[in-house]
Parts: sequence; C-alpha cells; structure tokens
Amino acid sequence: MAPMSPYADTKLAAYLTKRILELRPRKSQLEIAVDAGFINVNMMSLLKSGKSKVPLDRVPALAKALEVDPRLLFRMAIQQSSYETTSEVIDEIFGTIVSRNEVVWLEALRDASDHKDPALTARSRAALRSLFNK
Amino acid sequence: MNKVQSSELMPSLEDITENERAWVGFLRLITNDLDPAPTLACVQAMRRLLSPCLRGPD
Repeated sequence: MAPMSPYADTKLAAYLTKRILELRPRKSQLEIAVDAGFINVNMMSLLKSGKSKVPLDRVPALAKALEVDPRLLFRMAIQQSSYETTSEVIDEIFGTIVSRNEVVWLEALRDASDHKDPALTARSRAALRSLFNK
Repeated sequence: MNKVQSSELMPSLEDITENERAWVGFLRLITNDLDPAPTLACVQAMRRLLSPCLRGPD
C-alpha cells in the first residue's frame, strides 16, 4: 500500500510550510493557492503535508505567489520528484541552477577573493559552518 | 579551471567555475537548501576568510 504522505520528508514540503508561515501576516494560504493558479484550494495543505508533490509546470506561478526565487523552487521540485538523474542532466546541459541569493554569495566570494577563484578548503568549510552555527 | 555554464540569467554573473560550484554546493548542504541571503556579517567573515587564500593554499 502506498504511503499516505509520500513527499512529507522532502525539503520542498518543509520549505513550503516555513514560507507559508512567514507570509501568514499578510497573505493567507488560500490566497497563495489562488495566486498560484491551483483550482483545488486545499492544494497548499496537500503540498505542505507531502500528500502531493509540486507539479513542475506550477513552479513559476507558485514561486510568484510565495514571493520566492523560482530557481530555488524548481530545484527542490526536481529533487522532490526523485529525478536525481534528471537534476544531473539539467546541470550538465543548462549549467548549475543558482538562485538570486546564491548569485549574491558568488559575487561576494569573487569580490572577497579578488576574482582568484578560491578552492573550497577545509578551512573554508569550517568557517562557513561557524557562520551558520553548524 | 574549467568554466561551468550557469543557468542564471542575471547579467552581472558570468559562468560559474567548478570551485564556485563547490562553494554553492557546500552552502546548500549546511543551510539545508534554505537559500539564505548573505548578511553584511557573512560578507565580512568571507573577506576575513579569503585574505589568506590570496597568499597561497592552506
């Protein structure tokens, strides 16, 4: 028998829950569902609980409704669909999908390193971990 | 270092390198893919971190 919430443990389900909570003061879950073009107004609940997965063709509208980067959402939607090989193929053909925030990180990295293309060393990893208390 | 094509369409970012891809990958790993924006404190820490890199590998 198939699990009731096959996508409950995916990053996207957790991310949607967090983002909907963040938007709650000014945008209801229903409004988000309508803005994203879902006919079923319970769709956001289904996505949060992991009972349904985010359809790839809904990613642009859902990203807009959630006011988040569509690249981030697309990457998570691919992962959620267990298309690991698809994800790799997309990277290979179209290049690494980076979000707007990641662009800012990379620009900061280039600026800080004077465009020397620094390798990610053990020291760098430790410093990044400490930045995020990991 | 070989360049890796970036799908990012923002004109300010050129194609990313393998090293940069490693940085992004590690960032995703430690932030659980939550896509945090870099704060001023993060950028300053990165500057402090990368100064020794300019003098040579650690």
